Amino acid sequence: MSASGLLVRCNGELAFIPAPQVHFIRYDVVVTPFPGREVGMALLDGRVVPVISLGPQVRALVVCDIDGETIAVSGLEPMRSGFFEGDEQGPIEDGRLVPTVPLKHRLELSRNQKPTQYSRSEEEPWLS
Amino acid sequence: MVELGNEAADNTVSDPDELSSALLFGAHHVAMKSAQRAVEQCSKANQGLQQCRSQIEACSDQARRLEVRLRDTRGSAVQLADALDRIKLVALNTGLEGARQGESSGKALVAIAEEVRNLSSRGLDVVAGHIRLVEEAELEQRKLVEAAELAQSLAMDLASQLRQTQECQFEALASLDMLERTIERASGLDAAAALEVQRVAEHGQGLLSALEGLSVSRRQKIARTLLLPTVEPLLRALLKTAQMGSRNESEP
Repeated sequence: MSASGLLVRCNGELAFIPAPQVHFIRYDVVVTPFPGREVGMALLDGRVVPVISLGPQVRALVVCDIDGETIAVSGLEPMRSGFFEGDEQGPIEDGRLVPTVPLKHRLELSRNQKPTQYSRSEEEPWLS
Repeated sequence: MVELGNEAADNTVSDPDELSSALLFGAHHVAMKSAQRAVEQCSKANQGLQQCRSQIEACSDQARRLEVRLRDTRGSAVQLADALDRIKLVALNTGLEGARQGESSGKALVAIAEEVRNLSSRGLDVVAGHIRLVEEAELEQRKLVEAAELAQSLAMDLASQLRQTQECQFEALASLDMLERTIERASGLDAAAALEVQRVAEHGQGLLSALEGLSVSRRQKIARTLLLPTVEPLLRALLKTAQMGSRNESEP
């Protein structure tokens, strides 16, 4: 059994995004931030797409599909793509299960977040 | 021999004061020669310094040209890194496409993408190493420019000091010239005659010191066999000249 998708580095830690959730990766996309929030906007192929930030600014922007909605994720450094040893929970690297990025949860958090109330979730240790 | 004595009389002094003046003239002559030589050496040093300065200037220009070359090299290395990074991006997107297609149909695509990604990553590492080397070279180049500027500034200081030294030497020459005229006025001797007198005195002193350096028996032998035949006519000429000088002084 293998996991297919994108292996990324987020805040120095390895994380995984399953292949069905990833559209493509783009470089040097201009992201317009919303003041006080971690959500921004980007123009991709003529469409305005929401951008959530999961780490410090990097060159790449990972464009994903969450329940039919296209969102872009910044702060992820793409490492490898394709098939990886592992199971449905995610790939195993150096004997350790690589956690999957909870994109849906993050998107909901970002949407519901008030500018002053946001705190990082304990479920996302790689975001510390 | 008498004729020789007469010639010698023209250039001979009969007064100890005149001998002192002659010695003064001799010292003056040596000082003048030394000062002139110092001026010449200073002039040569100045020429050498000018050559040094132009060489430093050329080094500085080369270092500035090197700066431009290094900047261009870094620019092209950055462009190359960007191209390799974009190749890596294409490989990542291709791998994603293969992964979406499933293991059966997408495996080949993922394998190619992985190979391309590996190659571009290796290329990126190499280019990063090149950029680091260029940055180190830029650092060295900046140090080179600073060193050339410092050398230029030191050379300018040295040129200024040389100019001052030359001015001092010219002043010394002028003072020595004045001293020569003063001695001439005070002693009534001209410089050429005084130098002749000094030379004669130096020869006499040399002969005496050479004789003192020999043992008594050898001195006697040399004096009897070698020196007397040569020096005796000279002594006679000197005595005659001295007597003529005394007669001239006693006559009103």
